[in-house]
Amino acid sequence: MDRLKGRASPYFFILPTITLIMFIYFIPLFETIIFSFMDMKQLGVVGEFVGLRNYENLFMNEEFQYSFTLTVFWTFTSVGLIILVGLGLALALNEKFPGNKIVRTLSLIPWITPASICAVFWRWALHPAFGSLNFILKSLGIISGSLRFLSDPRLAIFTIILVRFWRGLPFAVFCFLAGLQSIPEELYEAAEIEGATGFYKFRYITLPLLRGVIAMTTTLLTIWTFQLFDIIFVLTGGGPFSSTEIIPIFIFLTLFRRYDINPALSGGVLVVTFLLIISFIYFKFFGRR
Amino acid sequence: MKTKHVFKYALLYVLSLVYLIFIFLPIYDGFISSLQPYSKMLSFRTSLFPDTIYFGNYISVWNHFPLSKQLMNTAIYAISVSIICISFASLSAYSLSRFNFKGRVQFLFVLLATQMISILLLVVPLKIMMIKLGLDNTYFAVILVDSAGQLTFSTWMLWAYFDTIPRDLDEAALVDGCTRLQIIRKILLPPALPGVMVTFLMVFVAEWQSFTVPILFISNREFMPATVGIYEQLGELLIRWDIVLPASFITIIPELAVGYAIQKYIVGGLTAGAVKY
Repeated sequence: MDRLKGRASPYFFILPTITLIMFIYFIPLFETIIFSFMDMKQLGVVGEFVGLRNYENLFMNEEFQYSFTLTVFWTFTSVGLIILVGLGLALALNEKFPGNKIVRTLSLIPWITPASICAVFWRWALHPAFGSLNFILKSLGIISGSLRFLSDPRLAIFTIILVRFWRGLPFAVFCFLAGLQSIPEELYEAAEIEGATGFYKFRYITLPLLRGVIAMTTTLLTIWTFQLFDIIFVLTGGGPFSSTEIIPIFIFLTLFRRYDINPALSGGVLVVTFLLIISFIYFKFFGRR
Repeated sequence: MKTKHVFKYALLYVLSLVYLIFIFLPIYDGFISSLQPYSKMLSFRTSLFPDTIYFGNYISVWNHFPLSKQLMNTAIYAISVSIICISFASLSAYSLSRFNFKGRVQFLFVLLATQMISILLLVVPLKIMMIKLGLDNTYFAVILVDSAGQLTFSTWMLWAYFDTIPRDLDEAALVDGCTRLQIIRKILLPPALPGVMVTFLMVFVAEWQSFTVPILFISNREFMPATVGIYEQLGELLIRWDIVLPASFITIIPELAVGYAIQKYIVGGLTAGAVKY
């Protein structure tokens, strides 16, 4: 690499990229933090310094308290489900049987369909009278009356967890399959010679070697799910009665519907802090870089 | 032993089938319903299979709804972002592939950090910046913000492709008096062309899906991409499903076609990108 030192500086080549990222990500991130200590009454007018008052107001805000609890519940439930079921499915699809490649390829479709469009399809499929899900559940005898998946405040949060699960599952399955395929076949053969059974092979070969991939997938899904916006915004918009109003939706609604800038800023800083903690945990315990 | 195998296969097939049915249910349901006349759509569901096929919704959507205009916007966003990403990323990927410079690790960290944060969290200062620059509610706002979001991925992909090209080639070119930019254009890009194409198309597919950024910066219908245009049709009281469902399918067809063409790279990119984190 060093043999190629010319006059042109490598910094020149990263300049366009770094400039764009600075203006779109880092300066706004810095400003978000600074502004969260100001009283912002209007976009573009920097208000007076108020210290931690915005954060106090945010934590006293009942809507935000509910939103915070909901976000934690929503993130851990959906990520937990995706990881557990994804691991099981990946183990099954890792078996050699005719057609397993087709299953893998087809299951990519939700991943490359735009999230907002996926949410449109789900809104239709979840419709109490016209959608197919109610019809299927009734035909199977699981429910007797139609469920109002998106308009029943007690049910809506579980419905969006289901949709999140649906969209996140193929990603987890793919990551786990890639991890499983990197485990050398000889390890299992050696274990079989020693007389190990299926469960022991899973517990003492598969699981330890998959640890890094599981940690990475869990971290990424947690980061994405905690700040997920599009699917929920299209499915419920945070309703009914704020029952699905997780923090990103809260930020959007306070900013664009109530024109209240301060909670959007301090809420944003809180989410960033959470993301930093999650990334830190990952790099501390699993990072190799 | 034999029966055990049959049992195992049966189990695997049942599992795969349930998985696929679950994965396809909403897409299938939306698709068959989009092929029903409006009156038929709004009748109580009694079957999962259509007894008539009716293309009228697709024709009327294309004619009456501003879909073609919004798809054009989607295409403008997707193509512009892909071009910016390829231009910027080929430069930064060249730097990463051929130089060992101070701050390289920090640069990589910055690239990765952008992938951890949603634009929604930074919307207030970004909105202020766009208003001050006169870019709020224009194509440029979305193109700039989304390009920044796609740069990490494109730099990563091109870096991997450039690494496969022997360094001797650019050394020889340097001796022959080529500038560095000429080296990128004439030595690195041609053999990396398949990789450049794949990167271009993957950014294209990703940008086709863009929803949150246009929602934040675009309120003028003139500049809305189709994803936002369809969202706008989801009213509180009445939803014209005979418009929304066909429009959704028309919107995803170009993207799914591109996705299908590069599917094996998507699988690779998805997992490789994830494993690199």
